[in-house]
Amino acid sequence: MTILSVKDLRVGFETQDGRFEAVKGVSFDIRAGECLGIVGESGSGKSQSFMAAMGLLPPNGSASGSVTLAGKEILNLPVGKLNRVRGADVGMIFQDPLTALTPHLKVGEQMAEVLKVHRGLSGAQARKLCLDWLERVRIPEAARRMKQYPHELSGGMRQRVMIAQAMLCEPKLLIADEPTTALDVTVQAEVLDLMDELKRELGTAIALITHDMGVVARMCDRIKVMRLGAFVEEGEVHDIFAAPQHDYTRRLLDAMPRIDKGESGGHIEGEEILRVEDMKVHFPIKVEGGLFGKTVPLKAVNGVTFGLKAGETLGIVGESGCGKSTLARAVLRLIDPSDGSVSWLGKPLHAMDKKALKAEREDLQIVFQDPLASLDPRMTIADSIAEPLKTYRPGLTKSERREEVLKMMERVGLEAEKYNRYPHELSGGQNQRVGIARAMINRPKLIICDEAVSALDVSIQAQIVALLKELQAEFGMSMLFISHDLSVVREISNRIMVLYLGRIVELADAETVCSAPRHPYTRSLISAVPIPDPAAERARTRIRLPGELPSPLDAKAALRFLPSKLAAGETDYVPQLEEVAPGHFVAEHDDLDRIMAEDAA
Amino acid sequence: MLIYVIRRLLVAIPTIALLVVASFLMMHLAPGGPFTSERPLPPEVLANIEAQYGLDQPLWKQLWDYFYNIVVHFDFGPSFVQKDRTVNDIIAQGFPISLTYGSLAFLAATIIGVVLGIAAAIRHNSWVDYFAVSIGIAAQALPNFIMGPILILTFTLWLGVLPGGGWNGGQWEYLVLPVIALSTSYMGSIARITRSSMLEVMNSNFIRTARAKGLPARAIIWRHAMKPTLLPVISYLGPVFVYVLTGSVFVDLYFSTGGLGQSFVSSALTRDYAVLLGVTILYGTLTVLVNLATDLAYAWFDPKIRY
Repeated sequence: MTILSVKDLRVGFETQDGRFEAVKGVSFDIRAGECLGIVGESGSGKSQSFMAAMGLLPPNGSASGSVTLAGKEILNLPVGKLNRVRGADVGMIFQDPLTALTPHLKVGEQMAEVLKVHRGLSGAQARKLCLDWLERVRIPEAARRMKQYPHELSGGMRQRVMIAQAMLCEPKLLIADEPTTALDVTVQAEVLDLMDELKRELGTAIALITHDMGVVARMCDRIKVMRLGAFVEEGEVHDIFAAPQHDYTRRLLDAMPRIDKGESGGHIEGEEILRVEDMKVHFPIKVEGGLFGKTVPLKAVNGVTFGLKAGETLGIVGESGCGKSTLARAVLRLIDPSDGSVSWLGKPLHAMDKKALKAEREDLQIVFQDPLASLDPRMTIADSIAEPLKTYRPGLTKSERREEVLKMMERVGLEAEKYNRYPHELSGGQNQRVGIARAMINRPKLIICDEAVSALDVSIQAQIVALLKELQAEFGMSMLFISHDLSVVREISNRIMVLYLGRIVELADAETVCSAPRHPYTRSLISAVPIPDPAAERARTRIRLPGELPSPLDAKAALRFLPSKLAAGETDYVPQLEEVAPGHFVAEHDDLDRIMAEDAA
Repeated sequence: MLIYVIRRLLVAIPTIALLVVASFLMMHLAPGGPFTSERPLPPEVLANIEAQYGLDQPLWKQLWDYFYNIVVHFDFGPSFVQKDRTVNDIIAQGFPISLTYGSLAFLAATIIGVVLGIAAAIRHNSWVDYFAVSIGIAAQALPNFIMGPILILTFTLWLGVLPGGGWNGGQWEYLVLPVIALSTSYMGSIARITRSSMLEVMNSNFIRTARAKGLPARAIIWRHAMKPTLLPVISYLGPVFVYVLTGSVFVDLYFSTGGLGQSFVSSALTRDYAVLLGVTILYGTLTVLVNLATDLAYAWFDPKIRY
């Protein structure tokens, strides 16, 4: 049975430069109990198609064509009539669960509203239904969550609340717009499982809008690949992954790095240039207590030791709050470590004064996540790239500097005519090339990439990774590559270090970590990474550690993988790294079964 | 939260003390004194008068005595210029007047400003919006020293419907013009801030969620958009409340209300140390209290704020 039928839908926006067509006549059906994937990169019009269908376009947007829900036309209905459909027959969840819930209303209050407007329920009846649904989406301590505000919940829990809220009236269709993009990989896996369950048990049709081929491979029955406002390819998910017809689909699939296949960095021999010993970064956090409050240390990085060889790339992975960015910044002394030492080419970086440190920074560069925000908006990109030259090679004349900048721009794939452009005139990928050019202009010996490709579209991400590899082959710099995306890290790194709450849990060659992880945390992490191949993805089993990533302020959290020590009362015990095979370090842990049993208890 | 309030009040004490010391020293740094005049008094007479007010003592001793009298006797001393009047008297007489029409002006500016701003935002780019924006800009461009004479010209001299000055125990006819004169420019600013804040909130993700839930527009605006809209307004209102009380000197002047604003300015001109310090402490304390109230109000508007 067809739930939603879209015919020749066109969406346009009035802008200062005239009308802009975002969606150029798309048609599709969604049937009961199926998951239809709408795949595309940013600007493809995939979200706007559904926003238009649901009457959620901004004031300057307009739509034409036809959208029928269970046979009734709903496109461009007056708001009053549309409101009978929205939230009742169609539920929606969005990308960013942090901002998608009203901050000043308790979870129970905002959920109950839906029942009030659509079912006329209130009071105890409504509360009971809300509670039922919160339990169905497996929120721990659901009754307590009802009385909490959204900011008191983790990102994963907030997305569950969104799903519960959208499902309250048991809609025929659930529209999920990038529902897991902002979530950690293990949380993503659980949210996807939950949606899949709803589809199977209630026959809810799901429209899954995403850029992630791995998520599509796990979830969807059929997919439509969208580009520049139109579908370029559509079909059964297995067919499209097995034999993509359109060139764009092929490129999209090729651009996706895989955790289980494809080339990884491989082992590398060389001289050690960076040695970090027992690094600790503690932030004072104010908590309640006493007349003037008290401070406790948040142990963001809590004793990390590693070395980096010349020309080597070390990937640093872990979920949000594990301390990976803090670690990188502390190595460069962008923030001062609380304890520990950093030896850079034999010199103690942690003990240097400002002047000596500045001299060393010529060789220590960093590329940040948000390419637009990390460039000065009032400087042309050439000025941004040239800045390190002015600091470290003040003897250059203006024309020599220009030469250098142009050479580097060409090297990173920026056309010379972009020389006098400003960051806002460039795309995200181009701005990240500027960031890389700025970092590379003095040929540093170490580059830290802090989530440098995370904000980019898949195809751009692949280009930037390829560029970094080329630059490394040419200039031989070492890299610390920080990312939450394990597939990308595997592709670029020689070795991978897995962090959990400020400590290393596993460190080994990239291939070893991804194909034969030993630590339970690494194993659950790897098993949660979606593989862009429906056959492989659906065949494997996931290791689910129950519970969510605990707070770093929780003293017991550090021993989550050593319940035996906790049981023995050794709450201060620090798990030691053991070398289980040459070059393969794993933190002490109990058996997986023991950990699972502990969490269940 | 009680602990937070106590902590804030404790911190306020050194703040106010510092304020007193700073104003005290600055007054004494400036050349001249309350008894310097164009025709100099004979030196013996001057010395006599200064001794009477304790001005012959070393500075630290004067400061100490001043603090001592306040803390122990709640006595802010005699006025140096107005014979036979103490600072306590002057404040007791002028402050209730300033407080009355200041609070009324504050309420008027807030209520009308917020309503105008919300109306403009909800009907964005319609005639309601343009109307509200024009009113807002016009009001903002009319400070109270312009509004005062305009109002008197119109309502007193031309239409003859309202008295052009006096206080008369705070009867409503005497309140209308001062309140309008004082509130218009703040009303304009409040309307503008409310409007832009609401436009931003209406574009946020959680409003999109509320719309996707099928809630009627009324529920979206009142339940979901209102509190976050008012957050920036609240932070503006704190200082405004102090301004309407301190900045009322022109209103006092034009409408002869006898409020405290006028005493404040004239005491500075005549070097009436005691009055100036007394009023400074009053306004300082008021500012601290209003800031505290603002911060506490925040917690009600935004549950993320914890004390």
